[in-house]
Amino acid sequence: MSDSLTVGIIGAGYIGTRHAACWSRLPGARIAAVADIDRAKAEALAAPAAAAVYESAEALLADASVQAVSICTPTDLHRPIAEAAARAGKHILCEKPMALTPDDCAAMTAAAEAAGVVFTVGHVVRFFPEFADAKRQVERGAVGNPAAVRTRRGGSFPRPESDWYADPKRSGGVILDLLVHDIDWLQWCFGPIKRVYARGLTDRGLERLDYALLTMRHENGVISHVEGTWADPAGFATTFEIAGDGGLLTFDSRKARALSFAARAPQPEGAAPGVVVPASPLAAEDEPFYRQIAAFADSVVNGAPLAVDPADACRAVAVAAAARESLRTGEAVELG
Amino acid sequence: MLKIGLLSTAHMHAASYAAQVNAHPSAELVGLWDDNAERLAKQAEAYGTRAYADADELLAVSDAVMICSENVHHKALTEKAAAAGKPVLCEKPLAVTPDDARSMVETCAAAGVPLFTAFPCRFSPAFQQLRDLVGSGALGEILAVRGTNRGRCPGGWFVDKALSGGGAVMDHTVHVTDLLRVLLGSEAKSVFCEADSRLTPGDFDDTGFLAINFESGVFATLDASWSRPKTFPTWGDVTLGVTGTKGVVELDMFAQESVLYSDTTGRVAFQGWGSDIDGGLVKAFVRAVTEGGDSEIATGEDGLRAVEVVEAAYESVRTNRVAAVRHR
Repeated sequence: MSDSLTVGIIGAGYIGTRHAACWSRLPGARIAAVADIDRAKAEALAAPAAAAVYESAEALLADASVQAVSICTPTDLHRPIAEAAARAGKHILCEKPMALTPDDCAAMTAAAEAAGVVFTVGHVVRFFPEFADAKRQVERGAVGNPAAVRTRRGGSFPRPESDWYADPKRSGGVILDLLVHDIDWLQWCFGPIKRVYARGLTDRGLERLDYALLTMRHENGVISHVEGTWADPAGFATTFEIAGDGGLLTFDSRKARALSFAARAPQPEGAAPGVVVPASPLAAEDEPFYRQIAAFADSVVNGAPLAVDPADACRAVAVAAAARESLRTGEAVELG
Repeated sequence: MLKIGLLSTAHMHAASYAAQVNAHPSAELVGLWDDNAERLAKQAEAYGTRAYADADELLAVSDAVMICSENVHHKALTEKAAAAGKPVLCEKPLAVTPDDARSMVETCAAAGVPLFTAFPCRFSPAFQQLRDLVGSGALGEILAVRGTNRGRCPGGWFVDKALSGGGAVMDHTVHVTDLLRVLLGSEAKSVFCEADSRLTPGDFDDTGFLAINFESGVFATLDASWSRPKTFPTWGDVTLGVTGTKGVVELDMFAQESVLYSDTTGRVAFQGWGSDIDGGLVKAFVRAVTEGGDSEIATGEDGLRAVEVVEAAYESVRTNRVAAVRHR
């Protein structure tokens, strides 16, 4: 990238920190500002880049030196911040899920279009090499005509300091926050989902336990099943399998560990003794969040086609919303 | 010695059951009958037992029978055994409709003949340990279960609905349904199912994803698909992912295996070395017939409950809606 791109990070929590780490090593990009309601967090993230520090999204968006923003706040804030960012003429990479409702998604998309800014959503799973490769395999006919697809994603309940995941009104629970990844990937690979039947724990009010099982039908006839858990103390894992009339493609992150480390003594920043810390390390330029941010920057600076169209992200939220509705009604929900 | 007769070897499990009877210290395979003369001669020789062209003659010399016919013939053969007063172990699914299964249960009850359903997965040591874990309270309250019973398309009469009564959903719903009933101590209340015929040519469901809601409030899903390709290293699987308030358990019933990479066959194959669950089933059958009383073996009633779930699944496939399980 020859031109310089100045970036603002809005939200300096876990995911904002990951965005910042990628932006900081992307050639031609510079973190110009960081905003967080917790000033200390914003300062910590801003310091290495000598970036400006703000305590609100509004203040950061008023900074004329910022050309593009990573929106890394809790989900309920995505819409107002994205709309304000669009009005301020900033290009937008918004974390997933795009918003809490399809209506919010439509409003955000309209705002970005009206402002003429680049707008995309962080469906980072598309940049995970195993998930990207699976799509390539399907497209080259490696499994023949796909028929039955399964995914599993999850681990223990996410618990940042603010604990916003525990409020389904803010996070949407495991279906909207976590399974939106698989829903987007499924629709990316197999086309639109037309029917959803879901059962889950989101509305049960259990103490930091959420879990859901989605049974879905795509418009092209493919049947898919998604398991999502924020109730598994065994650690984060993902799996998928694609069964077709010509073969079967399977993946299990628990079996794709290129490196496993078990310490004999306590580590300064790591697991307790005897706990295996598995890893699937990738070259720096292949790291999914880095590739996502590089792709967004390429769209902003060079006009490259969007890797994730907001319409796709909106459609993923619509399916997640239908799954939530199915939880409430106990019936299958047809998507328009 | 308990003399056990084998009525039909249409189902491939017959070979395993026959071997288990032969290995049993207090049971013997007294003979077999089959409506297919070629199969009869071949299997009688393979199992080292006598071939009977007449089922009644075999029944006359048997103390008990195992039925391994095509699904649609389970009912008639069970009725024949009941009339002869012989206890029955019937291959799953017990029948192709709940009404048939209910009729079998009642016929046997009226004749004073015990009827059992061949659900060998109950005898998996891993499942029994899971059941004990649940019983001990270590998992807390069970909230949800994800199950699979996937396999290769078995072909043959299994894909001829006139003989099988259905496809993958008919074949692979009942095992995990039975395990869930044992584990949860609750009955299935309603079912949603997406099924289709997309993997193997022919007019039968080869893909079936069920969602089963239990009266206790626990929800489960079950992948009953014949989705393993011919090159898959084993026949299929039975898995359960159980989420409880105090922990989670992953059961992979046939994971006790080594991997054989063979240049001789040109294939990669899993070599299972776990305890043979069919052995547990046959031992329990012999025990139930000779000693009576409580047993872990599934009854005809248990077989019926699983068939009710199959019926609801197919109803859901037709309507694209949740179908109530109608108990008989």
